[in-house]
Amino acid sequence: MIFEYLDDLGGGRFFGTGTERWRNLTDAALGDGLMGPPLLARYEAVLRPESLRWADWSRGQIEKVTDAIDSMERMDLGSRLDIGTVTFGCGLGYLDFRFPDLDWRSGRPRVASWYADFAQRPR
Amino acid sequence: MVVAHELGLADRIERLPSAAGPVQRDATIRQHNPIGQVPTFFTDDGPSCTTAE
Repeated sequence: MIFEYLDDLGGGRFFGTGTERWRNLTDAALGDGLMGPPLLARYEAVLRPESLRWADWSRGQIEKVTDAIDSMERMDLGSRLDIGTVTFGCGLGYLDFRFPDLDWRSGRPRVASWYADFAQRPR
Repeated sequence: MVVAHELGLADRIERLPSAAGPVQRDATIRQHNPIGQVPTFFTDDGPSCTTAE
């Protein structure tokens, strides 16, 4: 909603129309998986009392992340700048910050290359 | 903020301190967003936007 509000305020170019709009929104939903599940895993590791932690549950949350990035590796992201790719960028940045040991770049050269360029923005 | 920067709106946005968490829930956020999560965005004269999308 914040994204949509700012996009409307700023002239409206991040959502697209027609088929492109649904692609962008679908990718944004996928990108949300780079932040929601790992945040839950982080809370499990740093907030939940140690005796109550559930390793299988945390592993499952992180599998959502790796599956999402594997899916992104099959995409041609090019120079897209839309709600989908912005969500991807924010999610990958969060993973670098909180889950550096995940080493998401390993085995995903296309996403790694795309992110290296995207992370240089704004130009 | 990525979108704000891309659209040249960043200098119109004031950042406020907060300490969101699922157990110790931040009362200042909850004034604007009952869910108590960040990001929470509100305008001086318009809607409060309570989810990032």
